[in-house]
Amino acid sequence: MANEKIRILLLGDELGQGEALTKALEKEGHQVQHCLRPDEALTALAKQKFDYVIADCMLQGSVSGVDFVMNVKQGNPRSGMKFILMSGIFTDKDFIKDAMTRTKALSFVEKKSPFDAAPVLALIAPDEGKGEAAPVRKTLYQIFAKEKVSQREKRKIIESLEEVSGFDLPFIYSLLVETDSSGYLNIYEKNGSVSGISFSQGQIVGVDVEDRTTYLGEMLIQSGYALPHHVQEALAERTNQKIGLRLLRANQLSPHAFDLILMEQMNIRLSRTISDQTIRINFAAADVEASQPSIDSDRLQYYLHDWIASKVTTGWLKSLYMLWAGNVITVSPAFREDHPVLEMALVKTLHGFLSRIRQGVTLTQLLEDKQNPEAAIYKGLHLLLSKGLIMFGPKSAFKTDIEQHAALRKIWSDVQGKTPIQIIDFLGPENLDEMGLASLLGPQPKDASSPTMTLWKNLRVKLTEAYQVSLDSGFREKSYTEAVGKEAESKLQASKRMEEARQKLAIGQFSVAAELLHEVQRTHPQLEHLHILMAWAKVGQSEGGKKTNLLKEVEFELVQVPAEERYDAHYPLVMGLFQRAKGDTMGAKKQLERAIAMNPSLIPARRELSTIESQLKKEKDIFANVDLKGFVGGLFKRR
Amino acid sequence: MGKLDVKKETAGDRLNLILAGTIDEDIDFNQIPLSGGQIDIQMSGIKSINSCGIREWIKWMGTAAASQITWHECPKVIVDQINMVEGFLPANAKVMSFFVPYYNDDAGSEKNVLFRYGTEFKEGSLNPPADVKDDDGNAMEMDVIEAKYFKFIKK
Repeated sequence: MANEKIRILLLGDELGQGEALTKALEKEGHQVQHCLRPDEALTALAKQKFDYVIADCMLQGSVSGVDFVMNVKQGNPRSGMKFILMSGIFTDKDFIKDAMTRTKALSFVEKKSPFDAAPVLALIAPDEGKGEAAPVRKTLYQIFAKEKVSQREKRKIIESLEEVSGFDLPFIYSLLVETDSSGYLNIYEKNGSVSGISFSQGQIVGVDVEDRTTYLGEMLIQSGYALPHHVQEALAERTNQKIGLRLLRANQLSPHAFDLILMEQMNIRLSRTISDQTIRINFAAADVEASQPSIDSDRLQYYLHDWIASKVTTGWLKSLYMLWAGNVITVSPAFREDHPVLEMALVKTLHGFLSRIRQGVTLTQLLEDKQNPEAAIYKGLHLLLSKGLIMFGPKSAFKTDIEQHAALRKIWSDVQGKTPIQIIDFLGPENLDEMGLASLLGPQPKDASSPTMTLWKNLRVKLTEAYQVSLDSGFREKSYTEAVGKEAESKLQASKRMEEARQKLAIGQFSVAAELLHEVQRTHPQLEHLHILMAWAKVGQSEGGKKTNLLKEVEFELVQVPAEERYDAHYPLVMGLFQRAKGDTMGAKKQLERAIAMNPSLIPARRELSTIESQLKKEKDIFANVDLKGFVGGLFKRR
Repeated sequence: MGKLDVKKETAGDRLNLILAGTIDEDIDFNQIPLSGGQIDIQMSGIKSINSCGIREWIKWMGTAAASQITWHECPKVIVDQINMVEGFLPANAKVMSFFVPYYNDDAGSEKNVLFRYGTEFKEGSLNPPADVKDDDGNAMEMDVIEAKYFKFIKK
């Protein structure tokens, strides 16, 4: 059952394209019969059962592809066959709509020049047929290349998913909310733990995770919704009543503020589910009662922004978008200039990003433009795609040797130094076969002696070697076991370096700390508290020259701090230092007070606060001692 | 019993439970002690189960380690958990029948077909009905990914 080949009947009279598509489908493991004429196709259908029929609309003779499909459907109403229509000529929207209504085909594929088999291959993913679940990237992210995806289609895609990465979850949550779903999304981790998210008519109404740390006290202080001493008093009381309720009853917290805090708590729990782990998920539609507080679509887009900024690593995004690097990015029909997402930091801070997208540009071209950091480009792109504001168009053929060379060089820099196992993890084995390589590297360069040819050959050898390893399950298992051991050792080293950096920061050795943290960032960009410490090191270095650039970097580091780390006293400490560096002394004072309320023994916060307080006192004394006549005179003095 | 209706019948050493509704954080399985040499659980009325419900279910099933348990008419939500969660179907329990969703794309019709042990399935093999039709006689197809949905049969 699972290993049976999918049988495809292809009807089209363009011999070259037909052969190319047949070859591509066969390489995916499907069995294809290509017929040039409708009568030939009918004979084939009479002899054999097919799972799919792909028909070109434009055929020589009196029978069109649409007529053919309708005839076959009428003659075989219970066949269970799926139909795909194609055309390079009939691409008028009304024609497509009419053809789809008449034939109820699975999809209509517009043939582009040069011919690209990928859109057809994506439709024949095994989950559409009868085999095993397709790789998540093929199934889930095909949405990024579709102008319109119905709610049912989106829900069906989610229901078909099983094994995903924790980094796929932000997009999955967003899809479930957008599709007004009701039901339970259960998340199963490898260690046997089960978490669950409850959706009621497109709102997240419950988040159940095994680690139920609340951070409630820290959240109340950090948000400013309750006064630090009220929280500390409530925490000191020995009663079974929950802290939030105690504050509410004492009128020290408003019910609205408490709802906001509970919502933020849901955000933290959702944020914890997003990690670089392979997990299994199952969404079961069910009637779930609406309740408050809940996270609706408007609120979720802010959380989506934060998760992409803080949790999803650039490495994972690079890997996800590797195969889309040559596709033209365009704005989607859902794009609107006043969309709130465009005002969010990940998009707003990108210079000229949207105007370049409006011109039609590929990801490779966006990355060549050094105006924006690579991480920011990937994250901004992922946010806009996840919200459906932009989409991928067809793959753009390399117009020149220089263009292909640039794209190959980029791939080389991404895979250079990686072991075959790391390459498989990075690209996914499904993208390393002949078809995947052709799509990734482009055609063989014409000039055999060019540097592009050398690069193309080297990459083919390296990636093919990785693919061969992916087929050898014994070697793969062994390599993974070794890699897990090495990873644990390397993580331990990185944690030690982080601790060392933390100590250097506490005594004001910011450059040394920054060096240590850069080392950690290279190997373990997801280590807890890394971004807070990095922001601290950078803000410490910002005293003096290059201040503006460094403060921008600090801002980007702070955006990347995950929700669950914002309730550690170091976060308001660094926020305070950042605000002081920007000249907002009062804002800095407030943040530092919060940091001390959360952790009274945080010496750097106390030191900084005392400096600010003596500075403020000095300013006050100066003001008090100024001679009134001189002061008024000073105000009106001509400059 | 929260959102779960439980009907209980006892005949000698045999306990028959009929469950219907939702299994979630409100469930208290302590109120349904599992006892007897043979326990039969009818599940067709179970509408949904969330992560809290899954954890409670596993603990509950663990209290009947000495009994032989049979599960009947398992809906899709239960089959999904059997496939996903290690220990959801304990070693002393056996699925006697479960539902498989079918649909017809043209008519938009949907239907759950009961697969019975010994007829449509047994250990390691599947024998789906040759022809499933909706009320209007339209041929229907399975609305599940076979490799995913029938995984527990092959275990």
